[in-house]
Amino acid sequence: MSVHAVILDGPLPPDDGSPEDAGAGARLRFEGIVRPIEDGREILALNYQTYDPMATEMLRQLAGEMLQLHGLTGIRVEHSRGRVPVGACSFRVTIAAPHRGPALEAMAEFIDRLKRDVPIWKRPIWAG
Amino acid sequence: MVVRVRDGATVQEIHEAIARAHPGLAVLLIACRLAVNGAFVPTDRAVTRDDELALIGLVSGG
Repeated sequence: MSVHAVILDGPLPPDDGSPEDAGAGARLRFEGIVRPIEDGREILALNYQTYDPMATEMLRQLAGEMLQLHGLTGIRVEHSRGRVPVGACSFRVTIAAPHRGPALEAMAEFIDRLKRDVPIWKRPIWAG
Repeated sequence: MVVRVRDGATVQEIHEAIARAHPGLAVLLIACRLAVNGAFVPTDRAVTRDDELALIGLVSGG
């Protein structure tokens, strides 16, 4: 069972790997894409700030907790730091599990807890 | 940010000391937590001189 969590500078590159999925019957991927509108105004990009190494360690711990709690075969997490332009991917979670139910539950719980606890902040870079 | 607390002050006491020293931040502090050495800890945890503290506000990752 594999856990992989990393924070990368800038937009995330195309997905280059899946978590260990031997025995998996379900593979789920979520990608967070930078929208063109924030609070009703057009933006050029989001700028992500992270408090490291705490942010990376929390992502890793949270991913490991989801693996154990939901019986996953693997979980892979990537999050951006710095400037990410509109349309680019800034956040990706890939989960492999024996069945779809636990995969869906783990995905929802992981994202909810990341958004509540992990020290990462985004600031819009406004257009015009 | 500098606040003075007693030796062996807890996370809770430090949080309260920050609120007293910076009353203009009181509303924001309600949503803040202190991390000690890169991790959230129980508020009754005593802090030492060698600990690194970080005041973490509302986050917006993901």
